[in-house]
Amino acid sequence: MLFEVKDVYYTRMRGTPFAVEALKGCSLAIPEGEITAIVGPTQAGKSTLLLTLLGLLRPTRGSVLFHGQDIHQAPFNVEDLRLRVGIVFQSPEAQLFEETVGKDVSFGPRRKRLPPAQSRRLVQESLEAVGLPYEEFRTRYISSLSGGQKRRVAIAGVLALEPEAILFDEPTAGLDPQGRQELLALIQRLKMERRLTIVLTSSSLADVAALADQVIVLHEGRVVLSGSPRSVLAHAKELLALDITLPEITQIALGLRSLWPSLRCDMLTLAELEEELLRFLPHATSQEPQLSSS
Amino acid sequence: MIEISRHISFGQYVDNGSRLTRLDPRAKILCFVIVVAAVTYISHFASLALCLLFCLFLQWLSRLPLRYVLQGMRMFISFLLILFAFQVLFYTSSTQAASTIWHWGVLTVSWEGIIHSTQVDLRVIFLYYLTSLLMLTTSLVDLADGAEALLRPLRRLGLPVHELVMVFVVALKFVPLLITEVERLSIAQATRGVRFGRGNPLQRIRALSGIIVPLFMSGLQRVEMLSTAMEARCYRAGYRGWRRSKLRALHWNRSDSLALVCSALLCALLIALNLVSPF
Ligand SMILES: Nc1ncnc2c1ncn2[C@@H]1O[C@H](COP(=O)(O)OP(=O)(O)O)[C@@H](O)[C@H]1O
Ligand SMILES: [Mg+2]
Repeated sequence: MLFEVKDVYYTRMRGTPFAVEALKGCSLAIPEGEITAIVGPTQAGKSTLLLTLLGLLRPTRGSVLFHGQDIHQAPFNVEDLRLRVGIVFQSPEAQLFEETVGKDVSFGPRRKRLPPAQSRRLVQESLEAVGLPYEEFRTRYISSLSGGQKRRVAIAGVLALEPEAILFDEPTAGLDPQGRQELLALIQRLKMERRLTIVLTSSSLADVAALADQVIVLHEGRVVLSGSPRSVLAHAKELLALDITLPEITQIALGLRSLWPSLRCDMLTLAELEEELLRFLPHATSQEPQLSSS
Repeated sequence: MIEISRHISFGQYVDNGSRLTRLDPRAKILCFVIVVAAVTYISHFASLALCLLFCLFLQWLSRLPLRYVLQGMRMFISFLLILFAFQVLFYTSSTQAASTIWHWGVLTVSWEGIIHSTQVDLRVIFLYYLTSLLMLTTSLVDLADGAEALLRPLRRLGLPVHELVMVFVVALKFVPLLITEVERLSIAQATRGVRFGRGNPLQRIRALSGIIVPLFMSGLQRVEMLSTAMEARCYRAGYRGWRRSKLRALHWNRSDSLALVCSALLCALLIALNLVSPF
């Protein structure tokens, strides 16, 4: 296991009148080399969880293990962990702090004191991996970039650390459908080509069901469901009650349940939905099924 | 380091509906001004003790957790302690020779110096406490409205009261904004391997210095955004005799008068005590 989270509690703004308990006994495990999606409504504690994984917040109770070692126990070096596991925040503005693209992306390699040639190569590779031509963007001011470009620069800055895992906080929030597809494709590519472990959070299962190997559903600081996307989708009704957006196919399947209550709802593709429907249709040929919109 | 805002209560407003938050801002500011004037004047331990009692009473009225308020003063007090050491070491007066405890070159430690510096620093702590309590219990908008209403007569003298208050309020508003910004930058840099709050003092200062430049940059960006936003809403302070109207009118209640009377009495008591008490 890359990360193990054991019964972690965390209170934001502890000791002030604004204290909120963001994590309340959260336990989960994140395996190596896979894509783990943490899904939950807003305020569920997803961002807080990612920050505790990196030791940026120290749990009030419970422990976080990285490769089996407690990250807050003496021999373990948290700074070292942060160079091995990168994080891409929800808003790129939260992440970028240098003036130009080149300076920001090269910040990590410079921190690691890599030789200039190697640092340059890393910056170039990272920028090109996210689809930003090196020569064109190297000297651009970050303030002159569009939102989507800033997000790519943020990812490039993390890639330049050559991490073994990357945490993405709501990577698809605020993107148009095309940008969303491109980003998810990029994440998939990072897993396939670089063998990276990926953790991403989302308030919607629609984006991540097809991509994730494991889905963990977080609600009010606790894990309420976890498993393969299919096994999680099987509980579609409960997910709906938690305010989690479902994939279109699941929504259709749920709607059709008013006709066929025993219809499964854990399908991931249209083809699977069709196959499932064909199980029922022979019995229903006498009337056209009416699609109720749910 | 990462949750700095947890430790800094300066400029925060806690809307807990306590008696203090409900007072009219004009009353609060007036009480504040006269009490501060009195506290600045007093120097004897007897009146300082009375002042402590008063602060405890205010603390009870405010219903704020004591730890939270004290936490916000921690940095200030440690700064004051350093100052205290210097005050004592460099204190000189004519009658001092009798009470000298320790002497080396220009440095002297005398009972008189210790007592005098303690009195001064206690006063400064009370002033800081009163200021933070005013901010904790008054929203920025109320503070601005109250100050503007109180300073209105000065307009006759040609002072741009509204503009001055506005500038003051915007400056205050920037304190929590800058704290959030420091928080953001330190998280962003920590995720890329910068270590904060560890190592020897030199390393710590080096880590912090990397934040200063981006902090200025984003501060300037904020200013630009703010001015655009104000302009987009046609904000004009005193344009061709326009009067800005208020969404919420201020109401002076009986409790406000009571607060004012109590503060005045307290001031009289503080000063009287200071005059009669021998130490
Ligand atoms: N910087 C912060 N200061 C104080 N409270 C916060 C902060 N960030 C989040 N919280 C609180 O922590 C809880 C969990 O929030 P968060 O982890 O951001 O959830 P999510 O990312 O799932 O939307 C919420 O109740 C939120 O109000
Ligand atoms: Mg979040």
